[in-house]
Amino acid sequence: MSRPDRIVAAAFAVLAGLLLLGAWLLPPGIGRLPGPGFFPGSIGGVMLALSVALLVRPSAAESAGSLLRGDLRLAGIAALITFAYLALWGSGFFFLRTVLFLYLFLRILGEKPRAGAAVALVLTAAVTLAFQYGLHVSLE
Amino acid sequence: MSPDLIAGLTAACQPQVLMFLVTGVVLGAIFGALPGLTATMGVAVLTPLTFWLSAEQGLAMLLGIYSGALPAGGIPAILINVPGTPASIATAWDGYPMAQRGRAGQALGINALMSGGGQLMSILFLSIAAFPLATFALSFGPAEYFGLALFGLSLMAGVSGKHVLKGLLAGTLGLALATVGLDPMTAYPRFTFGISDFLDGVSFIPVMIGLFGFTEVLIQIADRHDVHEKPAIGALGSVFPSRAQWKKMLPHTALGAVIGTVVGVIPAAGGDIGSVVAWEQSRRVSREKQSFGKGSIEGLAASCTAANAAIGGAMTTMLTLGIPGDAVSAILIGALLIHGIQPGPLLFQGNQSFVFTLVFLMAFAAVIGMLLGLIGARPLAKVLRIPGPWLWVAITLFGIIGSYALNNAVVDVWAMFVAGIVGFLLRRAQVPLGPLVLGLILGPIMEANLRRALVLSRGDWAGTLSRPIVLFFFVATALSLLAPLFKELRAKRRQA
Repeated sequence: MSRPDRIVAAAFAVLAGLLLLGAWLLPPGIGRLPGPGFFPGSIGGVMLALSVALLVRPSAAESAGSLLRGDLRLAGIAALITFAYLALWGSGFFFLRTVLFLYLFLRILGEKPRAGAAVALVLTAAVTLAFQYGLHVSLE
Repeated sequence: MSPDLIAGLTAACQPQVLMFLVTGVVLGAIFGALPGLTATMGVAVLTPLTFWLSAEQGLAMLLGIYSGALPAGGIPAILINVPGTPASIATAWDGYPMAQRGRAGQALGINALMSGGGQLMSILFLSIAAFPLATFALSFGPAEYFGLALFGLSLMAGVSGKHVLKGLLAGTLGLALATVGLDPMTAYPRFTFGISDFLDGVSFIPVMIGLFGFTEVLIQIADRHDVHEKPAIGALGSVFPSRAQWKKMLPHTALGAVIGTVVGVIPAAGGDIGSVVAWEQSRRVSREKQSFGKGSIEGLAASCTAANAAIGGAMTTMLTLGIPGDAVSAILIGALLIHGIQPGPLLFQGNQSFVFTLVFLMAFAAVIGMLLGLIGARPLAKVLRIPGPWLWVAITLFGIIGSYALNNAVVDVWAMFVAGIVGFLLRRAQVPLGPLVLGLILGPIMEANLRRALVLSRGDWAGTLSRPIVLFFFVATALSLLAPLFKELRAKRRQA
């Protein structure tokens, strides 16, 4: 049993526990008819059983390799920039914010400054034209 | 001739509809030709753009993307040995060795012709089988639909590859996500945490954009597939096979079409599985087994045909039963629902002309895709030179804006972002995402139909679950879940 598999199994087991708890707190069914908690509870039970099975069943085929392979730092920065862009959603200056977001994204991916700025401008202009002016979606 | 057939053809031949179809095929071809971008991603990211169109126009564009991406996926597979889509993995096995021997043009020609042929043959199957299947499905009650959905879910084991347990876990995660929102019978809020945006449940399309768009962007960045280096593409030469080659390929094409269509019909199994199975079966029956994997036109023909024939099979399941045949048809169900069209047997009763429109659009898309593959192979090969970072930022931006534009809701954008991060973590842990999608789409069908069936039978569980068709689905479910176990046991015995 590899360490990543243990992490996966543990994460799903916790989720299953939360699901079972949430289902238990929902109102019961009437008579022999299941209530709102029946289905989530059943899923929680199956998920818990599968998590335990993954935890106790050593199998080479199920091995996950390394969770930390590849350039996670770069992917993490890309996700963080996207998070910051989304957190500022609705604060106005859509065009400026988007150009800056795309430019930063491109720069961390190794794009040259001029090319990055040009691509960011063209993409933002295309999206603004298509959605804000073409489809009348308010992006501000 | 049936008035519905004429109405369907007329709607499909509207200039605007055809314009969106051609646009979709070209966009799909670009998505397919670029390794890392798939038909699923293309359909997911561009679905929001279709909400402002009529149902026919929107579906024309999405079907165009679906049809255009698969043949184009074979282009990088043949030229640089990198499959453009998962369905073109087997195309690389024989296509790339052909290209290395200076027969790239011929391989691309076979890819275009057989892909179009595979799609057309499966569309023929769809037009023959769909109406009787839909009529049969009309006899299904809620209990039968529960059995069918359960069987569909059990196929999670089959589509999880080596990671059966993790696939099943991903499926339960999809099922769990599907329970968020109002209870289908009592309208009691479940797992909404007092947030009114969650009352309608998890938005399917943003989650799909996150899982197949943003996840892929993060994976590509982490693996540093930036495609900064520009692949060298030599002269292509003639794209048309000779008469002798046609003769040699046709039986394998027919075999590929049958296998691809059957695999496509099976819920959750698509062209990626179909093409590999067809290649293997084609090798078994071929007189030139040794040439497979070294540039066999038989192997190439079988795999290309099967990868594309899965489209008609998947659409048959989706349109007649309302169950997704593969990931793309799962997203298409969401797109249809937003246009007020409920796939399933009732569609064949009340809206036959629309069904014919879809069939004609698929056929047109197959022909346009075939012509594009024959004429436009070289320009399409040039898209391989677009720098990776440009693509990744474009996909991210379209994913964000598209998710927001669905309902003008910021919560949808966050759903896309969270789904992308979760998808990235799951992919890193080698947890397949296909079963998650299946759980998300089949969960509500399963729950609502089981509970409806129990209400109708006044809580008679035994009576509800022992109906003949339900029992048939239970047996099929058990077999489907046990199949990977038997396979493993057999492999162990062989090793011993």
